[in-house]
Amino acid sequence: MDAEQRAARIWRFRERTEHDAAALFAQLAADLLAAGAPGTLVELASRCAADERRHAALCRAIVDDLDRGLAPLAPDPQPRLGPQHTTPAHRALYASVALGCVTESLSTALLIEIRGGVDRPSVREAVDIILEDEIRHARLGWACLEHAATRGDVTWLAPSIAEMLHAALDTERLSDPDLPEEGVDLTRFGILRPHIAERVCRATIEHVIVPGLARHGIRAARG
Amino acid sequence: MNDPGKLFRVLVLGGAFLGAGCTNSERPAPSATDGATSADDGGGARELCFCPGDDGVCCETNASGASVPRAGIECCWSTSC
Repeated sequence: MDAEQRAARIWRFRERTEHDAAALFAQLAADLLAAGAPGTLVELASRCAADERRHAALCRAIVDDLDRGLAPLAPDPQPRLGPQHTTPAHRALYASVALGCVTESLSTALLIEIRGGVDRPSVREAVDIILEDEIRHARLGWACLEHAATRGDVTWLAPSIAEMLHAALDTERLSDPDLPEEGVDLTRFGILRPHIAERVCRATIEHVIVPGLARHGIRAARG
Repeated sequence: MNDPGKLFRVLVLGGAFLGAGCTNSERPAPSATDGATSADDGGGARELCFCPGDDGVCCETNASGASVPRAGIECCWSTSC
């Protein structure tokens, strides 16, 4: 398998991840609405779902550019985050933090790093669009957390943070069953070397996510 | 390597600014620069922006026809107008 074919498979995985994220943001919008959250947050969550569907199409265009005819992966039929048998407000807060504060904050940091090394036009264009959206998606998470914290205790999330971080990092690592070995450089196709992705994630967790959560008394256990 | 300090301001503080201002009344959607600021060399606060942005808030065309950051805007993460 050549470099373009390997890169195509990673973008195909990202395509599926974007579809999953679209479903999760749509569920978040529904839970925010049911919880009586401000219209701004509901609208933003709905917009995020639409963004993610657009991102999936951008990923598909890259797959086609790199390895035309590579079939999509089957999406998760019903992706879910966190406890389901609880109030819409708790489901919404859990999903906001897992999706926005954790996953999209990491994604933003990774895309900034990715952006610097891409030279393929189709990839560069998609990365620019997705990055700009991911900033808004991460902010939605932090906005929902801020809003919830003004109305009640949010520290019940603390025991779940390590699990959220592991899930987000696993998704990044699982993007290719044959992760690029250190000798295979797919940077120009928008795929970071594993040690660089690891470094970016660690810095983002340490300097962005953990202190951001700590502002609200959520102390993430070291996982 | 991106700057985690900037990322904290843009994501965490920018999002918090949005969330703190939310009420059940309608508000306009956030712009590319909501809540994110950076101290400039002259001591004033400049808004961080992912340039060129999608709504024209970050960049403008100067007299020479070049696209440049608007007054009070700083393009972040190596982006440019």
